[in-house]
Amino acid sequence: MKNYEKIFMNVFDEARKVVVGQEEMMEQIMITMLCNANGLVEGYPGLAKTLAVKTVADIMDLKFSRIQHTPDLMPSDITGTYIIEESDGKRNFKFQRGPIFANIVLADEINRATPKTQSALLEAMQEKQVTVGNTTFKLDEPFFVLATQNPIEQEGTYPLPEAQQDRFLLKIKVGYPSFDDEMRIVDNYTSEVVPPKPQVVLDKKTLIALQNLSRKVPIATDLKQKIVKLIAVTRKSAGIIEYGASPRASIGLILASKARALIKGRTHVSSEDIVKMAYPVLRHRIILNFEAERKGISTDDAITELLSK
Amino acid sequence: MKGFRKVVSEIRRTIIEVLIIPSLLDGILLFLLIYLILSLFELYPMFAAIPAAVYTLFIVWRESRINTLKLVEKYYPSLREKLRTAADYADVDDVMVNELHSEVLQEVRNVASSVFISRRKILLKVFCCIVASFFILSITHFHISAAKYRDELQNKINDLADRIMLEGDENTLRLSNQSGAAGSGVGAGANRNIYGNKHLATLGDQELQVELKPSTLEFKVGKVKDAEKKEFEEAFPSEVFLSGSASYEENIPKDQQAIVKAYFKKVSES
Repeated sequence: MKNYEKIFMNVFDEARKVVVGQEEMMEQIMITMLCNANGLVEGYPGLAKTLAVKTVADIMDLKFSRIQHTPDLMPSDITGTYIIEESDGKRNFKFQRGPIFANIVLADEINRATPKTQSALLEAMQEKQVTVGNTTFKLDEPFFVLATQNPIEQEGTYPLPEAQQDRFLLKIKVGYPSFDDEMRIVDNYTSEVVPPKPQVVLDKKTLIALQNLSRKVPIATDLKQKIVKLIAVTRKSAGIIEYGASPRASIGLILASKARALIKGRTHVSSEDIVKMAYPVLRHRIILNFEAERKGISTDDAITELLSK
Repeated sequence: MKGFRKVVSEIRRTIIEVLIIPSLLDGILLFLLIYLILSLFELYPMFAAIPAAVYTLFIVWRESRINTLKLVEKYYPSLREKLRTAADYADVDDVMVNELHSEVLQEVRNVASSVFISRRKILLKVFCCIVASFFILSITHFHISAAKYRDELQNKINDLADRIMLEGDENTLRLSNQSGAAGSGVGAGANRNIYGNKHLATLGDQELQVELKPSTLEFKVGKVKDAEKKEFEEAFPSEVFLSGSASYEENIPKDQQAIVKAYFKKVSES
């Protein structure tokens, strides 16, 4: 068995101790991390979104911070601010680092914060740095923002702007657990036995090595062409799509497919990887038109149609 | 990894070689079938080589363009997408790529070229070739011919061509009449072959039918037939009638006939 295959097996085994079911969500969170990118986890409350991200942070020996987004959250609450510090009778300004200075940042319920605060995350997500005043601070590597959000139609939420959504590699949809999984959840969290805590099975160094390895996974030229064609089709499907995906989606789909292949223990990207990853990569990058909405077509339905072409 | 590039080209070469065999059989079968038809109609049979060669060349060209790696993947699902990825990265020296190459090399050992050939189809084609050869031999040996159908066909084609030309001439004539020009007098029959069929020859006053069989290159002297006598029917049009000339009915008295006779004699002498 390949070494990296064993590592992923251990990671998922540990995650299963805490998060019951939701295998796909866990896999996609892992893919996001392998791509050194950011993920947006969307689902109704109580579906273990926050728990999943917290568990991933626990499994990996990484610095974790959680930012609970509320309408009154200020950008400085995220990035940090200068405070006056007195030492040796002198008063100096000292930068007090905000919770963004971590390896894994859980931006919980990101769509509850105002657009101003949401945009404070933009630079960090894209440039992996924070600028406060005239000073730019580099963030530690690896750095991921894993944001969670409730469906945008709920009250008291601020839908993420398209530009900000595009900075998330994957939009991970979390569904309800199956009956058996829910039975296990109920058993785990209602008995007197405390659920086991996950062990650290992946350190920072290994994670960075896996990230580098993920980029080295070879992909056949015709599969690459298939991806680029798929993304191009999103821009030409005038029937149901108002705005298609950008080349960032092509890059994202290739990287995500490579990461998935690595997780699955394969030394090459397969068509299955592309099909599986097309949904989380594209669902927040294509905007359906009124006709599609009128017909009740979801973005996932539109992606299925695009894949069948 | 140079070794892997060699493996890929070897796979490609082997598959193309394997695919060409049925294509060649197709070409041979086509040649035999056309040879058979041409022999039957007593046409030059070696002309069959032209369409057969064209067909074979086309098929070989088409087969050589087939993505051989995808074909191997089709028959060996474990190599699906793996083989072509490895081929695309044949020159890359990398941890992942090297691992992929070694995996593929391991699995390629199980690839058998016999998988790409359908034995049933090959046997069927060989059987068809044998049957076609047998028919060709039979036609040659027993002098079986469908030449009379060929003549009928040729006549029909000639008639059709004449009709088309006649229509063309009529159109031309009509056009020239419309423009005020007089007709040239060259009718539809002007282009017709007035010398009859070329394979007819005459020996003395007898007509001979000489047939040349292209398949056997033998002369076949046909039956010597007497020239058929045909009786012409008198079929005068109804409006045509005979009437005596008025000069013959002139009644010259007998005593004056001698004078007239002498007059004409003198005239002729002078």
